[in-house]
Amino acid sequence: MSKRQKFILRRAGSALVIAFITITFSFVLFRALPGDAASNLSRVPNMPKEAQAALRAQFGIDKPLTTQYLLYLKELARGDLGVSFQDQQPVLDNVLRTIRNTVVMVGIGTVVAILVGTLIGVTAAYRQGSARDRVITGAAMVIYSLPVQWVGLLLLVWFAGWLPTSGMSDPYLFDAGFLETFVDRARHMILPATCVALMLFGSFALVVRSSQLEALGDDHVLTARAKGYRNRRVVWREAFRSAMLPLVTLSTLTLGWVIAGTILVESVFTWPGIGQATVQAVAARDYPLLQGIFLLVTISVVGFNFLGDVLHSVLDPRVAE
Amino acid sequence: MKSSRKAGRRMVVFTVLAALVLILAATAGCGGSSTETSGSSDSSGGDQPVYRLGTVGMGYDSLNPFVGMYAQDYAAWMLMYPNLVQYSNELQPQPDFAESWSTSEDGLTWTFTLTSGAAWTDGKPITASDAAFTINTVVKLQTGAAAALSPFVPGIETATAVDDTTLEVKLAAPSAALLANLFQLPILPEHFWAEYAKGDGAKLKTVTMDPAKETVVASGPFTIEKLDIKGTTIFKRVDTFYGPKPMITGYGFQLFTNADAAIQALKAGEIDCVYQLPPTSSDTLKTDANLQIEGFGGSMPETLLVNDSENNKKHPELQELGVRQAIDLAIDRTAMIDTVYNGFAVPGGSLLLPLYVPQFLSADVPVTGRDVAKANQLLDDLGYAKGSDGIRVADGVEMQYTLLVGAMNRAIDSRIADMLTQNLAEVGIGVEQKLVDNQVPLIMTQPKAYTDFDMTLIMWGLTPDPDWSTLISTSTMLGAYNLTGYSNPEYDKLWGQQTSEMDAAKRTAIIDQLSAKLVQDVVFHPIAYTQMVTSWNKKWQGVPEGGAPFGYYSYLNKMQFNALEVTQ
Repeated sequence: MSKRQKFILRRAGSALVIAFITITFSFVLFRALPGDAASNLSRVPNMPKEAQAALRAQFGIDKPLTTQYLLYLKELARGDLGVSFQDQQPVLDNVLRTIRNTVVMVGIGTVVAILVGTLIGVTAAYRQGSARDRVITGAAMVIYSLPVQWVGLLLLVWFAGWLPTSGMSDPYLFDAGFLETFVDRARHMILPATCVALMLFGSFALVVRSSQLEALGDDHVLTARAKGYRNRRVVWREAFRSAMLPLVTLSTLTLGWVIAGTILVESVFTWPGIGQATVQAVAARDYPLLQGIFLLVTISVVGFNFLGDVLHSVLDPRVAE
Repeated sequence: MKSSRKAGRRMVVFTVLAALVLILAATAGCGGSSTETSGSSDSSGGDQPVYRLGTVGMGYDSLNPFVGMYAQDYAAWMLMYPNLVQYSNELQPQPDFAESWSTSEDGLTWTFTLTSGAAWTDGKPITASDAAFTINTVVKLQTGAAAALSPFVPGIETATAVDDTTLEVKLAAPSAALLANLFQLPILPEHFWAEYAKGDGAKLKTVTMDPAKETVVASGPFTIEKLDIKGTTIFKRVDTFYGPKPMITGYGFQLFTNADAAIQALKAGEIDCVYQLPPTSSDTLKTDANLQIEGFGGSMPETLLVNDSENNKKHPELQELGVRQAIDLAIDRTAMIDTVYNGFAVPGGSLLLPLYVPQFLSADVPVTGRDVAKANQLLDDLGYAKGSDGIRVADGVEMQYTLLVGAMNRAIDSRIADMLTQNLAEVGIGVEQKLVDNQVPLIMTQPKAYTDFDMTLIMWGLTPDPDWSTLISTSTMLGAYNLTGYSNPEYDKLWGQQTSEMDAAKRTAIIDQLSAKLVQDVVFHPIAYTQMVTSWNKKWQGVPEGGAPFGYYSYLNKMQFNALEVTQ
């Protein structure tokens, strides 16, 4: 077994342990709060105590915590995430439906952020110390530090009337063809995806700038310059290749987190994604749905971290040693 | 920097391509949604366009009557299914599927004469069997699969279909509030639901109500056309509906998680009406000449509750009537309504709606005026002198109280709590605010009930009959909805009398006594009857301005959209 294979196996093992601990933690966390899904039904006036007890029994929350936990693990092993307390539909269906909406919007925002951030970072590093560098770096830092919901609200107020400000499609667009539907979806995507891109691009720009600066001073880059290679080759092929390592790490970490980190963006733009589902599940004490979402977020964070480790070991074999 | 520019161009092209692929993925399978409602978006031949309604914060949780529990779900069912009766905006029972009803002399049997010739959307007739099936299913499964509907059948033993248009309901004891309880129960088509109701009825909850997945059988005036609980659900008009038909060909119910987005959508003409707006948004909306803004409802009193239970060992002085009176006198209701509700509320004097006058109460309950001097005098008389920090001391313990503030209605409640803290400081009472997820379970479900809090703010949702509003202060509700710990055998007895008193005048006299007891004992500290801030495009006529006591889109009746039409 090669060193890299051993490294990957080790990392896979620790990823599994972390996932298990998080699953257990999330199970305990939601039940540590006072009240439960049945007590939250106070909106229905006149609900008899017996009926509340019946609901607790149906939801399984009348059983001891240890029994609930073992049942949860057993069902999880069978791939059954349970049924949402809110709509009584399978959690897996709820999660898959909302995650699809999130991935599309966040995917576009993240890809734009990575590309724009990289381009800005490389440009700023190349022009280190210049007015352009200072403006670009300053702007990236300012936007990076702005609260995302505030940026979202500004976009919403500025562009209302020009672009749709909520949802992911026009519900009243009847009998529309494919092209019309496509344009409608794209228009709805612009503001939230821009908000995600603005939220993320600053960190990419800053990380790429600093690693590119370091790389531009490396011996092999100086040699390339001395050999008279063109600027494009020096900047992108020689320097950027070695500056990519932190970018890969940051990209994988970001991709893992964006699923969980879009709660605010989705709330501002009423985007029917996993963030909005989380907020509603918390309000309704929908344990099965919350656990499903947590499981997914855990898998995505741990999974993308693992992917980052693997990619890192491929790009820089010294990591596995 | 030429190289960088070229690479940049390449990246832009790549970004655009990636975005296109992702949007294509999102569009796949979604193109060309064809609906029957669509053709009627133009108003022609007397038909009015689809009415696009928006709400902020809380939408539906489920449109399956055995699952959903939010007020909006009930409004949707009221517009989809037959109900035996409905309520007018003046809170009077009106015929719906039942044309008339009568009660036996002993009050134990109710006979309903039902509409003949009515049909479900699949063409099958709606008969008394459907009504009997629904009631009996809920009664049978009320501590199981039908628990969510159990509040609407209290005391019912059985329902029988005498013939297609006669329904007989038998009760265990006479109930003056039967209609007010039963009216919210949607009558469901037996031929659709019977197979799900078999055994323990667990399958009842599996029905999705999504016309894309299964048939939805309703009666109208509307039925579901496209279900999207977290987005926009679209309803179309049912032309075979047995009652008066609306002019609009359908309506959409859109959920916004952010009030600003809803306001912008309304201004941009993407929707026609929004309700449940924050009161502070009214200033922005008033400046738009195309929009009308009104406060609807007034059936939801925001109330301060004081834990005067014997279990509150730390502050037994709260059991003193003088202390509760002083708290009531210290509250500046007018200032709260002006600043927090922006005028969209009226001061509250009782948990019994002003709307109950004259049918259930002979006179409205007056609002306690603010009188700080009198409040201080009351506390001085009790011997609770102020300490060096300005906080009074009762039996060696500082009058420093924990006030629970729920996260559910935090934007409003936190501000009310701040003002209460200031008001009470003026009479030497200290308040420590504690933000909680949902204050009700803390009181209801803690093993040591009534021990961990001194005060809480709550917004009650009341019903068209005072039966429920008065029930919550009885001893039977201790540990459940009796959140103050009030216990008075005389009150309990009076409550039992009113609930079975079938003579309206005699019942009013008893409810007057109950009301007097609640005021005399200062059981509640009602702050304001809050209104639902609603704004709509003026091109729409027929919105019942100020005349919908339970707010816009309520579960009160099927008439609420009937007058809607575009006049510009």
